[in-house]
Amino acid sequence: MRSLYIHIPFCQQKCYYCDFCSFVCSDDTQQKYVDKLIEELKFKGTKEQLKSVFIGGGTPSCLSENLIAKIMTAVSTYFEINETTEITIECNPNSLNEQKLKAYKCAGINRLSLGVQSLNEKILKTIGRIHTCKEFYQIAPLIQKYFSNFNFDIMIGLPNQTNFDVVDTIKKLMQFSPTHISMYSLILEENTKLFNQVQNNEIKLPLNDDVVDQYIIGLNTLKEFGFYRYEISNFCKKGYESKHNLNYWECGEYYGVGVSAHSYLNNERFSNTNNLIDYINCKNFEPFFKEKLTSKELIEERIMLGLRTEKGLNISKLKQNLNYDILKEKGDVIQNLLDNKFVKIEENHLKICEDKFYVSNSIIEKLI
Amino acid sequence: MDNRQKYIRNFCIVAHIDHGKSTLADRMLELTQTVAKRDMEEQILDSMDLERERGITIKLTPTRMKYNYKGHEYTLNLIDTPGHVDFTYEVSRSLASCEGAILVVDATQGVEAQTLSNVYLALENDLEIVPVINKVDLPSARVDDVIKEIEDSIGLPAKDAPLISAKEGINIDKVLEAVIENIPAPSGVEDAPLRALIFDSKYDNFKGAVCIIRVVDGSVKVGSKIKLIQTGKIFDVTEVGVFSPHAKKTDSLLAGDVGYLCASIKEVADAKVGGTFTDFDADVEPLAGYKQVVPVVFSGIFPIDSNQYEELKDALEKLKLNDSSLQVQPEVSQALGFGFRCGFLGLLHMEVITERIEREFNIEVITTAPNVNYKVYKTDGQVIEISNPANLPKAVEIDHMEEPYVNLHIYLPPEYVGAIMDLCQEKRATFLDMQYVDSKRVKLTYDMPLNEIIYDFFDQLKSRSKGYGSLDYEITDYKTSDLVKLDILLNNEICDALSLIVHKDKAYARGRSIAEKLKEVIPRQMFEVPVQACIGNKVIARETIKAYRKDVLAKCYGGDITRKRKLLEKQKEGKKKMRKIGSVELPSEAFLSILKTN
Repeated sequence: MRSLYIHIPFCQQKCYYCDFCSFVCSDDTQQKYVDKLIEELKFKGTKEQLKSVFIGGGTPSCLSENLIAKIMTAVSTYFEINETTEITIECNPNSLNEQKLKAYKCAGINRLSLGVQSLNEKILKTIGRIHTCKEFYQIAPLIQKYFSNFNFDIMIGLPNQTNFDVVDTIKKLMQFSPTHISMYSLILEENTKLFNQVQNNEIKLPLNDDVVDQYIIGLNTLKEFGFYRYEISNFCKKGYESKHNLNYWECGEYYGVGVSAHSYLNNERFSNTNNLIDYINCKNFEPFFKEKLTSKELIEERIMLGLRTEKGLNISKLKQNLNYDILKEKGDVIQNLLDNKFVKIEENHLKICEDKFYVSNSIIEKLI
Repeated sequence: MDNRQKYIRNFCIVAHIDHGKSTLADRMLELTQTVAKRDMEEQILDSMDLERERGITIKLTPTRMKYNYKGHEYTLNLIDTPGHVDFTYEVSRSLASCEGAILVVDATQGVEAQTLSNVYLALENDLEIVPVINKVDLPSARVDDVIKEIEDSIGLPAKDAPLISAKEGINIDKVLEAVIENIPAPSGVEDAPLRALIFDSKYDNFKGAVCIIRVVDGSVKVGSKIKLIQTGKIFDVTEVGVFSPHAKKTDSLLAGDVGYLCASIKEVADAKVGGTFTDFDADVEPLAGYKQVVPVVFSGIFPIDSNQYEELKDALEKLKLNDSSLQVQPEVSQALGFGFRCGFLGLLHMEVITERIEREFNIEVITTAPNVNYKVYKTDGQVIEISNPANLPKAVEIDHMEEPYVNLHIYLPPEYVGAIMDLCQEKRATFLDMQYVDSKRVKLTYDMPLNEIIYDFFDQLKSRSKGYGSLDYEITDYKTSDLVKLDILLNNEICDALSLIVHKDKAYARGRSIAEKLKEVIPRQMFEVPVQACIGNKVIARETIKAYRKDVLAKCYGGDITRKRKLLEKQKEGKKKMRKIGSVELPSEAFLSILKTN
């Protein structure tokens, strides 16, 4: 089964660290955009049953609930969804209200992901988040009321963030019994406001070593609350793994609709334009970027994504599907990594040892 | 002497760096209309990018100019020469092909160390010297002092020396007239068998070796059968010509001429600079070449991409063709793989060769720390010479060692004498003499180990004298010295390419600074890496490179996958350029960094 990603590129304000495809726009543009999205859903629709749907952004919650309902109607018209389909919407505390929550639920959305990032007011301000802690505390109980499965996004490596902030934020979030936590480290991207601020020495970011400490402390705190890590940055209560995310890491296929959205079908990855106006005016959804993966690239992605997960890389599946025997091809490297306890092999899976997850890039690079 | 040669002058220009040699050459080319003004680019004879960028002349370039003087047309062959101490060898080559030399002296700087040594070389070659005082238009010019300096320190009458400004083109005609009046015409025998000295050669992919020659006796033309006296090999001449300043074919070259010849010479060794060509059936004495110079600085050159070994080999062979002072021997290093140990005339020479390999041949290379040639007296009575620390016998097998010393002259304004004396003291130098060249310049003379000069002496001299100090040295002899081998261990394994031979008193400080520097330049690895400096089994310095802790904690969703994969591929590609010492990955900068540890 395939997944579907729907991109909503609108925000009330751009966060200082964000280089995602998002814009601050008028209602009229939003309306036109949604019409185009629906046209694309019709164009790509196959009536097949979907494993998951993810409405991401941007900030989908800043669209009016009617538009979200329209999109969901189109999804169920051109694809098939049922109660086993995981349907997630990304939200921001200050653009959400009870009205919207009710509407999402009616539209068949069964999972919610809230961008909290931190519960330290000062940090939120520094990174240009538009919401306040107070707004989070107002909306969180309502989310609990309407949804049983929801995620909070938090970040580490933020300016002036301390270990205490990380633990404190997690503990405060736990009052609302989330089923899933994504904990990302801030990545400084070029062409962002934060990047310039750091370049000009206006803002100092924590050192890499300190970020690792924050990660480990965050990880341990989450464990105390019964969460387990199933991917480098993703934690959940057993049984609440995000199907949509897992699909990416298991090299599953997916459709992407909306500006800049990526699709992956038949070993081919392609995306729409990054330009909002071009997207709204496009005629036939010609891919903007397209790559047919070579067998080498397929293998590399399988390894790269598999090793990001706690379960690890399925060795025999790799051999079966892509005719690549990693134990034979990379025998020496793997033996060396095993000897130094960077990786382990368990039940036919090659996995990165728990305390070495944060150097997974270096490990993966040796294996591709 | 026949009439033709009467109107030929073969001369070169000697000068200290920056005294205006190449600019004077430019002006002469203009005045004689050898190069139209519109085609003139600055320092036209410095054809290598490297020469133009650094403002130095590295290779010698011959050019033929025509000039009318007193109703006769003269052929003036100018051989431009390098000024830097490292290129003395090239200078001596050009001198061997001339009858005279223009000595350019900067009116603001006076006679410099390098000026002197080149003048002595010229005098040894029986050349007539024509002094010329340049930059007389500058406000700081002190013409009278400089004339006196030339007369006092060189013993050359200079009161009639043309006073010129090469930059402004003032009195350039006077220089040409002085050349014609004072430098003797060549006096070869035109109908004798050919004798032509190869004083430079370069490799052309289509023509084979292009030999730059001075015809002393006889003549050579296309179709001539010639023989290289030194090897006895016979060639058919396919092309002869002159440079004016670009190569121009001619019918023949006669006694007294300077030009080039091609004869389908494929083997680099058959066009060896310093050889003499003669007619294939002639039996004549070879021309005296010139002083063969011995390399004094040695270092390993390895391709960064080990697949480029063959290309590097080829590049070095081609460079050797027109730079026979470069010595090349294959070398194998555990750390760096297959490469070459090369001998150079000095540090600048080493830098120039490395840059030429990278630019002209597109091969990225790693250069190991430069070393001098040591004499090792073994306990079994054997004496061996080594220039590669890796080849040093075990300490127990060594009775004692000797290292080369130089007679070092430093020229500088008096206010920096204190600072430079301190520097020399730090570098194990023994003070010999101090002289006031004039009220503004002092000459210091020291007896100093060459080993100390090739480290960071030149940089230090420049920085402590605010750029005013210059130096000049010649090797004198070998002296017994308390030397030790300093090894660098990474993760407890010796990295042979980082080993050094140093004086025992310097070993601790040097070991510490190398360890510190390596800690800075070696990226953190997946595990902790101890960096140790050792003498034998004794650890004298230790640093630890902490394990790398974080490289990815970011998200990776549908849209990120391609980018992530490409990033990893790129990272892996980058790692290929790293050298592995055991399990430690080293960037090539690590090898260079130990040259500059202060």
